[in-house]
Amino acid sequence: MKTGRETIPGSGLPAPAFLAVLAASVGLFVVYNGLLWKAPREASHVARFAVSYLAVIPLAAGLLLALRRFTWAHLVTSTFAVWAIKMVITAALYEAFARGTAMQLQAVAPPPTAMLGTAAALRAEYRAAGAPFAAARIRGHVKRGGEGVPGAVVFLDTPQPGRAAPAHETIDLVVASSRYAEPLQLLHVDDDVRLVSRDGVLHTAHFTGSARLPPTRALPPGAEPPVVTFSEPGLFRVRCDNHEGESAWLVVVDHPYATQSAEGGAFALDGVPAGEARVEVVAVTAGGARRLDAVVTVPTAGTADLDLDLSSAREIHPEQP
Amino acid sequence: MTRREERTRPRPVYLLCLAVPALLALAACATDDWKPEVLRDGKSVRAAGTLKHGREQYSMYCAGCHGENGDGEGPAARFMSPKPRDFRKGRVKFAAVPANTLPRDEDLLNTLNHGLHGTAMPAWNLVSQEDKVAIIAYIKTFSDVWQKEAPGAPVPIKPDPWRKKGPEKAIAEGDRVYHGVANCNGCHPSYADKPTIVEDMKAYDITPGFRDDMYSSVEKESDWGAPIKPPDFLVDRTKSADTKEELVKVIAAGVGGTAMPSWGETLTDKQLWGLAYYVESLVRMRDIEEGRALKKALETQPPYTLPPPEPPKPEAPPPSADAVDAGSK
Repeated sequence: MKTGRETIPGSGLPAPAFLAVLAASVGLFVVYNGLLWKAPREASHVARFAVSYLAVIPLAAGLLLALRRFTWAHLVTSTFAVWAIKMVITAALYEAFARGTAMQLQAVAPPPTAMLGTAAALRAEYRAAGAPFAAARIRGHVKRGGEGVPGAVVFLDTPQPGRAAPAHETIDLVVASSRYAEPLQLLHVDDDVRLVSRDGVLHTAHFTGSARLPPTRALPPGAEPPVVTFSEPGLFRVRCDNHEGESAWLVVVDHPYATQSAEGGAFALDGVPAGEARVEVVAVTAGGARRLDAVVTVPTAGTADLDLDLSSAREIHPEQP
Repeated sequence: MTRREERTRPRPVYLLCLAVPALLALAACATDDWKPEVLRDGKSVRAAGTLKHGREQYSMYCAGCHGENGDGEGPAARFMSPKPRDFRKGRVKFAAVPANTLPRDEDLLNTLNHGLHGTAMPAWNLVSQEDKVAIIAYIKTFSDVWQKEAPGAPVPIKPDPWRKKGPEKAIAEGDRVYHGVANCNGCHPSYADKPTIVEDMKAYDITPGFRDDMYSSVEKESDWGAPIKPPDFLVDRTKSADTKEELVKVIAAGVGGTAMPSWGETLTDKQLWGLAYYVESLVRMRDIEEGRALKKALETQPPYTLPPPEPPKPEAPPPSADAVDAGSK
């Protein structure tokens, strides 16, 4: 049997053919399932490895057949030789480009203790305007299927500096007959929220939400209502771990531009700074909680009319508000 | 060159095939774009060496379960129940701070030192304290919540008020609290007979009632992606606390992300410690004849009918106009 000038003795493949198989398998490794250096951090590279290794077998077999040098010994030798060299190359490429390893993580150390007091500054806080501004108005209706929706919370998302935020209040979240009196409530940051139970059974207040959470509190009958505060704005849900269906949604804002729609769905936000404003609405309907946002241009010292139709609102997942 | 010399002399292409990947491999080994000193806002309190060391220790001891990204999805995680903690949430179950608040370094160190019984998390006695501190520093890089928030303050625990009064009185108080005001048997099993439970509830003006299967735990929703069954103290090992000193902290702080609330600001010191004594007494009976006998006695008690609800107390009538006039004269 002719052996010719084999790249690896016993492989049966001359140099060009051997390099072609090697290049093809490395190329597959780089491009399969997307370019290696563009793979997201969480990407799995198992398929990339498997396909690029397994492809060597048919490639080597095809070339050996074409060169009329096929024997099982040549196939095994050429395959293992390619794998051995490819292993070094792909390992180096993986280490250089793949982001799925711990070594690629960027460390972010905790701030010094002295900085902890400024942790709140890391999020954009609302600040009242330091000078007079042209106050305007946004008014409209919250509707669903043509019907007005009362009790929906309408608020501005990250408003421009305007009038001062209201003073802190004490708000009661009331549970009676294993139901929250209000399925949706508007609160402000740092309000004292009293968890009041009027039932003769144990309830709990378990909070989930998009920002820093108060601890889960127990509401035993006859006990003094515990008080919690929300130090950050966001959308939260409170539920009882002992009674299914006992839950409510809470919208917490850190500025004065928030209200709840009246009967018929009417709402109005006064003293709004002129300019572009993003208006959000959260409503609880029979199908669950929904939220919608819209952008409106507020004229200087004028009124912007805005109707919010919940038909196109997106559902809010209870555990991921 | 003879034909024999040609055959034995290495071919240039063959050498190239070996040299190129070898050089690439060496270059890859030298590549290290890990820059622990590159930090948000350019500020740091941890030496770069500590974070790098923490990464190495984490990779060696922790990544197999908690994952290289700290997401709790390490290669071994799929064989585990409960699942390893997801450090990206910045929250843990067991800490001395109120449930759902950011734990302190000491809380994380406590879990590393003692492990969590009944889970795959061991007590890492083979790891030095210095290495554990480095691991904690590295774990805190998985979530930016440690940048944004300050750790919670530990729930204050006053000294044991039952220390001089004896454990029997404490356990009796704990029994009343467990089945009464705290209604622990709403999630955990009941450990008293039904008439006693009714009396405990009435003592706190609680409407007496039993749930189905009251002598077993009931599964509850959790924030950890899977429901959790509270422990049956006569059967299951408690994960983070065995003694009353440890139990009182768990009861006061609660268990993060679960149905176990923080009781520290709701119960009095006597109630809190009494509960700890009581649960410790149950934990000591776990898996021994005394505990099994108690369980059997409770499950085979005679039928019991709940007493009818007491009628609501009539409201005092408003004072009559004559009484007001008589009083004002």
